[in-house]
Amino acid sequence: MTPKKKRFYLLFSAFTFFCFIVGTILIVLQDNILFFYTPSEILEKDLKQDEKVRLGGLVEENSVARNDTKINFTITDLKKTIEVTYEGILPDLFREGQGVIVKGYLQNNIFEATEVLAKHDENYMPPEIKKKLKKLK
Amino acid sequence: MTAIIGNISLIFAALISFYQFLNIRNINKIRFLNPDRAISLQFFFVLLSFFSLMFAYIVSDFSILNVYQNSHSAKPLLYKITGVWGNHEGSMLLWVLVLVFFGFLISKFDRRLDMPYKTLTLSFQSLITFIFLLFILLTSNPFILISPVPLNGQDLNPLLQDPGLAFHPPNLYIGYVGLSIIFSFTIARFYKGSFDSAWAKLIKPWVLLSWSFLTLGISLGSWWAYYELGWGGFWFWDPVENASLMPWLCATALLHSTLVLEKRNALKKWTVFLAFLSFSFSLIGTFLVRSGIITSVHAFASDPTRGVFILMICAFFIFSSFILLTKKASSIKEEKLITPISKEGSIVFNNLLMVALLLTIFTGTVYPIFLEIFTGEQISVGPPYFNLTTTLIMGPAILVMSFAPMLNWKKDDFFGLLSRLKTMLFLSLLVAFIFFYINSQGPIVAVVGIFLASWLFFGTIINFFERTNYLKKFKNLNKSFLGMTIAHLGVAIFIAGVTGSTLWKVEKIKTLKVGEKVLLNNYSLNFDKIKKIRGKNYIGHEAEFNIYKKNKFIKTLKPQKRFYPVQEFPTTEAAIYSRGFSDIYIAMSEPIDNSWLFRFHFSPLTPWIWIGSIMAFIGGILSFSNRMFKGK
Repeated sequence: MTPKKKRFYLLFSAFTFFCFIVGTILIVLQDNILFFYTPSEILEKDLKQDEKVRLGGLVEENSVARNDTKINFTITDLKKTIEVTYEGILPDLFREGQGVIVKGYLQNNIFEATEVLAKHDENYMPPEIKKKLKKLK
Repeated sequence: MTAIIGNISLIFAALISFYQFLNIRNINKIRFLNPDRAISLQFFFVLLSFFSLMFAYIVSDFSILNVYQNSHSAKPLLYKITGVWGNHEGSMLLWVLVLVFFGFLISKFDRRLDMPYKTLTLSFQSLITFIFLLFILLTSNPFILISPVPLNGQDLNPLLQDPGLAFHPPNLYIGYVGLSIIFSFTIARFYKGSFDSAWAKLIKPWVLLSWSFLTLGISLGSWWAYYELGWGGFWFWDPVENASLMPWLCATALLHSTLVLEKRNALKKWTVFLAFLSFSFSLIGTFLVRSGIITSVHAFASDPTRGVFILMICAFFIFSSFILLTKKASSIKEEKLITPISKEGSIVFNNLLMVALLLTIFTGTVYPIFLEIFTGEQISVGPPYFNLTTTLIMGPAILVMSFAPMLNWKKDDFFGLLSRLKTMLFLSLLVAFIFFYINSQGPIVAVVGIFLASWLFFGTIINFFERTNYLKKFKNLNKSFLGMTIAHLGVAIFIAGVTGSTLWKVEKIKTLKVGEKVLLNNYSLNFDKIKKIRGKNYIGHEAEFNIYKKNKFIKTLKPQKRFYPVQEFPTTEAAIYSRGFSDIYIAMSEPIDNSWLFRFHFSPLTPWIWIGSIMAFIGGILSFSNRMFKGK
């Protein structure tokens, strides 16, 4: 092979490789994006049955109810509320009146959470919630 | 007083570093502030400043804002000391300390460098130091005073009051910031000498050192998350974790491309590119963590001026270095082309995969940030994205990694290679089959993971035996080769650990009353006692579990739930029983009526994650010391 040809093959394979990687990124990324909504937004959206999303807001005071490992509580953005069910252990910093983000699915206007996130700081308010609450005021 | 000493030292260090950068062309050894002296002085002043901050923490000097915000007089001494880097300002000071420490190491201990090149390298290192000192002085000064002096401090985030966190940042920074010296070495080489195998020999030990500590630092952080966060996982694809993984991937690629440059005098531009990319990602990582653009346990700062300042530092170094590279690219005499079936061929293949993985992780990490800036839409990228892309890219990389060390340089025989792989293939299929048989309930991907791990393990072992002529030549064994073997075996063990931990984990969440028990994979965990506990700065509950296997007592585990009153902050102290092959993990949650909620894990092979990482670290350090102190 002449050096020119070699160089061509080199560039060609590098290009194919690059396209392959970018393609993979885009396809896999497409399926794994989680949108973030507040209760008011999620009620307006027409979500698919199996679309996983993140829901954020404040845990409403006196809304947490337990039954063995099952937990029900309400998330509010001070306008609308959504009831959440979750089975498992709540993070250390989960508290009534504090900011929280849950991941999961909306089924018949009840949010079935697979994960509950409250962050590592007692003053912490997830920035997404802060921004959206500001907008509402 | 402490604050004044600290501040003045910082200013002196900044002035000297700026002076040293300005004297970039002046390599006269006789002048008073010669390069070696100047770098020692920088190191001295930054160290002095660092110790004054530490002193302020130890004596709880609450007239300093930083101490007031992050300490408390009742905090245990160890956490008073480590609290120095448990906040934004202190951790930036540690950053700069490591930066000057590397310059100091080079100037004092690297006898292989000639004077002009060393001077140039140290001058560029001083430029980095100067810019970061400016950043500290202008936006993140740890010595700001408050008055009136508060009676007591606000305490450190209790999650950070942990031995794991004491050692994680310094080790991580040695790795992270160590990449800066590679950057300085590279920039300096554009002005003095050429990118040849001699240069590769010079930088190799420093790449090894940074890489090893980066490995150690990341795994310490992951270990901490495993036992302290109470989730029983070791990696969460959190943007901050990714910020440390990205430079690691770069450094791994760089480590191997330097080897090709050293032995074959090839891959010059690519190695320079990787050297720049590594430092760029260590800066980008710093930006992601320190700018407050993402929120997590690591991100303390949320002052926008800091973010903008770091972004400017990033842009300055990244653009200027890559512009330099494109401008001077033609002056780097191009290398020979590389044949695919050869050691360098396989290294190139894995280098490309590393960079590809870097690209996918980078995309997943910054995509949400960009989307929010441009559309206002708030999204997050879920762990499945990272898991899938990482598995897809690392799979082929591990396949090649196993036999790459066996290949000859220049050119090897394809069919000869295949015949050598037969034994390995047989052994690893056997192991995968045995695992499948024992753990038949596991997913099929797990079998692939175990196959890859044993494929790499046997490949490395066989190569080791062949090279040492079945241990006959063990005495005059090359330490670098031994280091490589240990590190590669470590990766194999790590992969097995990750596979077991993610795919075979058994989780149970239960509420138990005292006297009740739970069954977990042949183990019976009896909840026998609960008592109140009181520590120096916390109160809480401790449960006592006695573990039995087939009615034989094995061990007592005591998980805790703590509450830190100063910060009104609860933490979960998981109790872990590690048996070498598996972990039993108990995390305690809250009381419900008169019972308690617990999370139980049986995680097979999980300890191997850390055993493997430690082996990789040891391997790297072995190669480093061999290269650094024996010259060859």
